[in-house]
Amino acid sequence: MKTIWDYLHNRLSPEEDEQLTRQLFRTYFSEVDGTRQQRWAQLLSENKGIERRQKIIKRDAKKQTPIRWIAILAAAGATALLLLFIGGSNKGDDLQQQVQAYIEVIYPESEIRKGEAAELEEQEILARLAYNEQRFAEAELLWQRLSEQYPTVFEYKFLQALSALYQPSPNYEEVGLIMEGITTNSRFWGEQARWYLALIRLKQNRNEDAQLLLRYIIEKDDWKSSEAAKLLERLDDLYF
Amino acid sequence: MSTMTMAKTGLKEADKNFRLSETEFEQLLTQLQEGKEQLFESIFLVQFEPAMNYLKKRFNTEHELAYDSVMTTMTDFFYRLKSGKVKYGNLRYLFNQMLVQEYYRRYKKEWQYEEFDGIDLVDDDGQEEEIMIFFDYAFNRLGAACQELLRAYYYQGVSYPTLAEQLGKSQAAIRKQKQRCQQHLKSLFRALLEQNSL
Repeated sequence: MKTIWDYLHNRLSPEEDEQLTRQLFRTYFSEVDGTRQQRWAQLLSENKGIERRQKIIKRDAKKQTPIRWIAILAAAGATALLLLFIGGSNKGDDLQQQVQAYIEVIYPESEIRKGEAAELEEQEILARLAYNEQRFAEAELLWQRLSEQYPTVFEYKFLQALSALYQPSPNYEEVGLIMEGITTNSRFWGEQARWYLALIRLKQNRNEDAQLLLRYIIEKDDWKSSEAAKLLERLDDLYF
Repeated sequence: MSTMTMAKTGLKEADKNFRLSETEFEQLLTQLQEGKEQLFESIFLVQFEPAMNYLKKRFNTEHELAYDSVMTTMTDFFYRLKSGKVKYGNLRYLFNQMLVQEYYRRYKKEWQYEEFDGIDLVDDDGQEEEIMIFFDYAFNRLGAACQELLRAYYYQGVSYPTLAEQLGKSQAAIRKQKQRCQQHLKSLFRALLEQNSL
């Protein structure tokens, strides 16, 4: 058996020497860092309620920012008004107008939060400002540049797609492709992108694709699931 | 410069430095060198959640991966501060850089230990605890640069190219420095064991 003396007198092969050094460091720092990190984890848990494993939170208790609530209420209000005005129109137009109403509620996630600006790159600040000020053509270009620079940041792609969607006469095919890419690659942004993808498919009259997406949103109880249920109901009305 | 402008500049500087003034930062370093960790912990607690949210938002990362990345970065930052290598200026920027690097390392699964093929540290006479006490003693007699390099390479498994980039040196220079540090550690360790005829 090789001992610490063999190691200290350089009697091990270079590979064994490396392995033992690594083992010494692993044993030592697992103990030292492990103890410290356990204490920190305890402090975080007790003082801030932060745990390594996230507690499962019921959908109803999910945090909603006030801005998002306002957006949801605005969407509901806009939809209700639309329904009052378009009572006499046919079911297809009715559905399309509802879709448009949902699209026209600007997604409110692009605010620059307090204390965050220092961490944002200049280009990102410009993109957020353009988006917030509804200069969507400019915002689209800026988000696109950022997406190319940081291909794993799906928020950039999402906001690029939204900026394109909010412009007059958007290219639904292109926007749909971006949203589709986000749904397959990002869990968080994918949930939101799926809703917009469903709206886009409805705008394109690809109703069967839209139905599949809406059903998925409802089944998973994802973001906008109650709106998805309403749209699906209207969509089903078209066929019966 | 007016008093108001000076105050604003001071606040901006403090914000870049986890709300610490330069004097408070110096106090933090002194405390860490004296083995007192309370001040660091109070900063750590405040920064942990924003740092996790930053990762989650920027990389759409899962909670556990964000938690682990921040925890490791905090630990590395602790060692860097303790070694006196961090200067007051833009601590937040440095921390975020380290955090993103740590996230990428974990994301690309660089954080993996090699399996050992059965080399035991000592004979079966239960001396591991004593050996680790001497290792601790020897390691703490190394210079800060050696401590940081050896810990990063052997414990964290940071590769030569990454270390070269982080420390602004060539890979060959890092390799040589690591060898020198390792030999120095061995000689200190051997001397201690011999003195105590373990």
